[in-house]
Amino acid sequence: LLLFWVTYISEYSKSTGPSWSESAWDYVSDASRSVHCHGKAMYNAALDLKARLLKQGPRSPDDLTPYYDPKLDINPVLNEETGSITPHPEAKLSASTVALARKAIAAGGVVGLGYYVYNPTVQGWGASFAEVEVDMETGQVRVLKLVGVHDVGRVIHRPGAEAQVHGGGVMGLGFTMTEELITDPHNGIPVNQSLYDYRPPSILDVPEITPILVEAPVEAGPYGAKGLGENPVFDAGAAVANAIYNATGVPMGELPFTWQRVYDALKQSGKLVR
Amino acid sequence: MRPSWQAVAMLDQLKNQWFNPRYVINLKSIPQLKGITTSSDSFVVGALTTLGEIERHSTLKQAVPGLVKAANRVATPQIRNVGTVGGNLLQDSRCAYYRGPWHCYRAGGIVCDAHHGVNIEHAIFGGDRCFTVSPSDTAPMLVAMEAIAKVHGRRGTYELPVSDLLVSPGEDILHMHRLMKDEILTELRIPIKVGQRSTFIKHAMRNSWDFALASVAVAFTHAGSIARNCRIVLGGVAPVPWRCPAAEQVVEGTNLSAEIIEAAARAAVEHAEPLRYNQYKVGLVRKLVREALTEPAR
Repeated sequence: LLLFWVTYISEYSKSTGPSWSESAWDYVSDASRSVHCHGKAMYNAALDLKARLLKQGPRSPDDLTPYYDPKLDINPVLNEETGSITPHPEAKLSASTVALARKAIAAGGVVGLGYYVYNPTVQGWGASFAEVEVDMETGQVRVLKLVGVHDVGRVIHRPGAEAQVHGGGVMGLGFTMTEELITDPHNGIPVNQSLYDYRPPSILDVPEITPILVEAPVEAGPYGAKGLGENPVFDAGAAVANAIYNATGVPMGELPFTWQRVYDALKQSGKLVR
Repeated sequence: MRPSWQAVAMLDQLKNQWFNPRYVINLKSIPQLKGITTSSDSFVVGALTTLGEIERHSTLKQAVPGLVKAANRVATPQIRNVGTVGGNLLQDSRCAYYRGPWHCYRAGGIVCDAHHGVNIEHAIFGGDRCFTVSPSDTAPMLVAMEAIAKVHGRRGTYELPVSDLLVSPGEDILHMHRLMKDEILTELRIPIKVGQRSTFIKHAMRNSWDFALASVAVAFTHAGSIARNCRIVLGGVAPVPWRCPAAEQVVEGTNLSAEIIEAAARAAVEHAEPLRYNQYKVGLVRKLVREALTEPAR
């Protein structure tokens, strides 16, 4: 038995995704869409396969229309020239997928094909909470704890989802605390010209990160799953900025919160301890 | 020809083609330059002893904990297992302007681009046309312990204090140390002082794999809860390991009470001259001196 799936993301359809000779075409695992899109396409392929095994019988090599749920799997696409909206843009299988499916059918296999288009109304939500310690003498900020709460719809793989919050938290704290492209104010030449000088955090700079996963399923996703990928990255900066404000009463307007930047802010507000 | 005084730090210069030597001599094939030996009055540390060997040396841990801490705070375990104490001491400037596409004083030009540029990591003491900082973590500790460097070259073998080995830009703006091209550092002799206490504290942007924004090395002899011969030496805030005589004066002969320590911390930054982006270093030095005196005083 062979199971194929296809994700077809309309805005990326013209670009070249990775392809393997032995698997169906798939867009990259990126953004916050992998579980939501790939997962639902696989889910649809599985439904198709089940239906063909139990009722419809194997596909003919010329009938390679992938299955989707017209009620839930909506991806309205605006034609900018005519102004018309297509609720279900046509699914096109890549040539390699067609060849693979035909090969499997010729060998006596049963092929299920699924299709899912990213539904833009589906959004994951989240909030982060930070506990910081601010040295009023030097401007040094230490993040002691970061809690990431994320509505992922449905947890499909808990260790993976929690690791996503940890990893996203580290990335978010990196651009919150140290990572910065510094350019010389007089001639615009980057002063820190290497990854070392850009200073992504080391493992010793990572505080305690606590992931909390909230499940509020959506009908569109596989078992209700939404995306999670990028969300933990976004809110670390805002959470730390608010924590600094809460600790010192000084608002921070610019990332990253380096010693000198916090020192300047404390000095301007007259709160620097000398 | 140029001996690889600091090959680990040189690797990125070679890769970036900032430094294109025709020959590099690997001194690591000379076993006599490695190892730690103890005599009645001193520890002799070969210049090619790795930082990892120092931080794991049980006798040094007991006798000179400050040096072990300093070695332990350099870069990463991987670098410490290859990088040597001699190389760490003789490192070149880390100033981004010196190492980047500018032509500053230290690179042979006629301006310090860092002085009016982004000088986050630069000097608040001892800037003299060049405002780079001494990047070594072991240097301030070796100066505080009054270590002696042994140099071998065509002029013969001679000894000089580590504090004299490293030179300020006022004396030589092109070099961070006094070794000639035909000379090598062979060993460091650290005098053993009865009742000596020492510590080292470093603050960097990251807790690993980073150079000091500021560090402090403190060594003093402690007898009857009175501190004598106190040395307070700062790293990462001046072109050379920066001794703080004013703070040392405050501490000398006292019992290191909280008030004394606070006065010493303030004395240490009395003549600081911060630039636009490194004013935080003034508070940082105060904090470091306070912490470093409090810890061994207990």
